[in-house]
Amino acid sequence: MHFDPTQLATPAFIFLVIAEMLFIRFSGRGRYEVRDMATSLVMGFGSVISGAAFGFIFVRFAHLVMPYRLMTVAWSIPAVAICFVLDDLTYYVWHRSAHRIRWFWAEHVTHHSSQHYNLSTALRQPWGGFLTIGFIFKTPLLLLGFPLGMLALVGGINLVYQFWIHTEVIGKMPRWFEAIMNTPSHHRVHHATNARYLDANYAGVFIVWDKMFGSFVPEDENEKPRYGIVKNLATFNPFKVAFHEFIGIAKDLASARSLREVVGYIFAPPGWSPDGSRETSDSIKQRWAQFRSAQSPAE
Amino acid sequence: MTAQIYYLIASLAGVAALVGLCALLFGREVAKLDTRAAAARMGCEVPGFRPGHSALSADCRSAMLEDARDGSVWLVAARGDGFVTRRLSRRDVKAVSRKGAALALRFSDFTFPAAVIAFHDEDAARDWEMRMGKA
Repeated sequence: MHFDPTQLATPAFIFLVIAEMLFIRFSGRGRYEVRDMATSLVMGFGSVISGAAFGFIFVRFAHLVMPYRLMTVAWSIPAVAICFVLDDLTYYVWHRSAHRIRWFWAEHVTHHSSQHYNLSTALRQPWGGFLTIGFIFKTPLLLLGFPLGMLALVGGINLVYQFWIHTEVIGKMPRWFEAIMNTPSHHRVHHATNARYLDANYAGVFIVWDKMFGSFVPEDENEKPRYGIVKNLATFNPFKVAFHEFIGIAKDLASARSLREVVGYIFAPPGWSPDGSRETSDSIKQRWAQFRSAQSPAE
Repeated sequence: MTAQIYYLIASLAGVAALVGLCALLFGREVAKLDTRAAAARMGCEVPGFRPGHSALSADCRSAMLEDARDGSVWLVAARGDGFVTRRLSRRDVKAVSRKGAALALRFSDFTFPAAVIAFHDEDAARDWEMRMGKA
């Protein structure tokens, strides 16, 4: 059985991007920029090529792990539902790691590199997944015995769900929905570089993971998110967007003077440096907190 | 295999059509700055930033600003309809040269290798060249 939700949803993606552009053009609620959008779409196209070319690596890896599975889960609706929820949990763990470990960030930064937040941003996908081998986060599901086809199906549905939350056009959803599900409001926070919003809301589909693991930050109506990355890219070149952080790692490794520095440059949070002279999200948040408390000492 | 090739060609055509529609609807907007907007941008990006001296390029596409707290020098430069900011420290700037009212900067940044900031007059360029030397 071959059922690719992402491929099936592509016409809907195109329709919704056109609808959002028209809405923004006439309402002013949001922003589009030609070169930014072109970069996002080319990144999306390239990630399809990269996935097709290197997807076999995950398949090979899965076939290495599967003989050690605890059981074999048969196809059924409840099994797919359970797989979907557990897959979303592994997505949360991968996503949190992708923001806290530079090696995984080198791939994921691509998705955050736009200063815009619209449906085309959802399509700005990395090309370097085969380099970072982020798929190892799926290992527990393979060991539990979920079939590879089921993992591909639920992963595809998860990706399709995340498309519509990349928009400024939708304010807030009904309260019950905001409480359980990832929404445009929650995900705007995730894409924001405002100090108060950094490293928050890693959820894919269910925002409950962030609430359970202490990474949830609600969108503050008084502080509009500013999108992008802490050090925004000055280029729209898709190759530079795709690989700049890998090149940054290589340059840092070339200057490393000890094993500690090598490990730090690869596995410490993005922005880590041996002498602490660069900014990490933790140091930015700390300075912001100090600045705020100095501004309002009575609080 | 043939179906996959058609799929890729259709995808590329779709990308081109969407980009064309975007250009039609939104044009090619270019961001412009004034010194207040540049200072406000820095205030957002650097918690506690206190604007000191500042200067705008003649084309209003970039500005240089000093943080009055520590004398550090920052660049705000337009990219598309947005801006990027960079601290102009000795570590980040590989080379500076001045030609009349224009400052040419080379950065150790793969995504932002160089910038030329043409000020209104030569004095401003000389002044910022000196400030960068101290920062």
